[in-house]
Amino acid sequence: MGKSLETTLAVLNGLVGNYLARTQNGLATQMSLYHGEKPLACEREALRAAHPEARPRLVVLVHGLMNTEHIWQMPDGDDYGRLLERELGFTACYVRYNTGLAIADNGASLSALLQSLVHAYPVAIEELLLIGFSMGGLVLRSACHTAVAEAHAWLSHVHRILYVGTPHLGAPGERLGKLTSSVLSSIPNAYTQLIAEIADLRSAGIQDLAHATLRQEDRSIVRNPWDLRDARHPVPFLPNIQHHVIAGSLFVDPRLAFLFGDSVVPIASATYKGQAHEILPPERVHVLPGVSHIGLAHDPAVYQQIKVILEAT
Amino acid sequence: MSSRERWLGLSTLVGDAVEHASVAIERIHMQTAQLPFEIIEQIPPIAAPAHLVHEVHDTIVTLTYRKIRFWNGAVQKVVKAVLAAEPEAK
Repeated sequence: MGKSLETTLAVLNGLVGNYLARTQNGLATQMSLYHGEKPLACEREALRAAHPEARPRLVVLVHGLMNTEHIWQMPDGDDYGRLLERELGFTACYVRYNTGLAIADNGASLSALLQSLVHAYPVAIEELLLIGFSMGGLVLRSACHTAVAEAHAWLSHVHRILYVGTPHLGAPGERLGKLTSSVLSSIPNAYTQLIAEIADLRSAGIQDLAHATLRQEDRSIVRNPWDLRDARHPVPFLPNIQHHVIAGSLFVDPRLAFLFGDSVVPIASATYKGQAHEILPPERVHVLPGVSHIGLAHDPAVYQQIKVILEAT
Repeated sequence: MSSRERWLGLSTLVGDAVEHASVAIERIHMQTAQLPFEIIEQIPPIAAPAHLVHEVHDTIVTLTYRKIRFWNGAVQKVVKAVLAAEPEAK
């Protein structure tokens, strides 16, 4: 299948992926590792064939909303995973998943997938490094939460997690979408109500981005659509793991940069700023000027930052 | 995921979209027509014929959208049958 078809399906999954999954539609993406454009089974022989020189340090990259693993590809064809293989001796694995599913559902699936991966990996694992882009970072956090709840062993291999452009405190664009939909549906007019109904067809994954909802039980929390401030959700970063956040900023003015960040995720949300009890130490917060949201997934400057982080810790 | 499953998925998705859209548009069609009919039906000399026209209108609208959904379902069945008969191609 062509890359453009896979990208189109990824967008479709992001938009209505939970509907596709619920109706068992053949267009729904199943979560899997991908290697060379094809799903890679989490079985020892398949992993050995895909990675004949598997190394003890493993990096798993998780893409964002409406993406596939192609999002990591830089203009020269390299990507963060390949560079980490070449320069820091990791083995890279790429996850593809249905981004329209609830983040909690994807987190649970990812936890199960990582469990299978560490069981089947052909050599003893020294470190499992996790890198999540945008929604992928939230899926990683949700997977960690599941791993704690279900005592999954893969978590013991994780020492560092890198979140790239991840909206830890939610995405204001989606909160605005919820408000708009709520206003339109309250107007007693058949046409505005139809527009609201169409808007509400957007996937569970998109809707979870509003308040960075990581757990199934948090999805039932009723929130006021007029509350456009950052959410304060109850799932903290796991202790005993080094969490590093990388944010982009397209604005020179610090106030604009703080509010709009990389044009999709504000810096405050990407850097988890504002939770007094949980602010990350400054050395784990990295803001890169001049990098857009999508650019964060395949920018040489971001890779250099990742390399610096990994070499320093 | 096989090519057949994807084509079937696409067909089902388009079918679902037509089904749901026809229901939504039928609802809007009826709601939009309701108000002018209600006003005209308040005018005594034309109330009776206006009511008759209203009934005919609603019947035609309902039958039209039902027909759309019927043919949509029929097309879905034909597509499924054709895809099931095709040899599997990955």
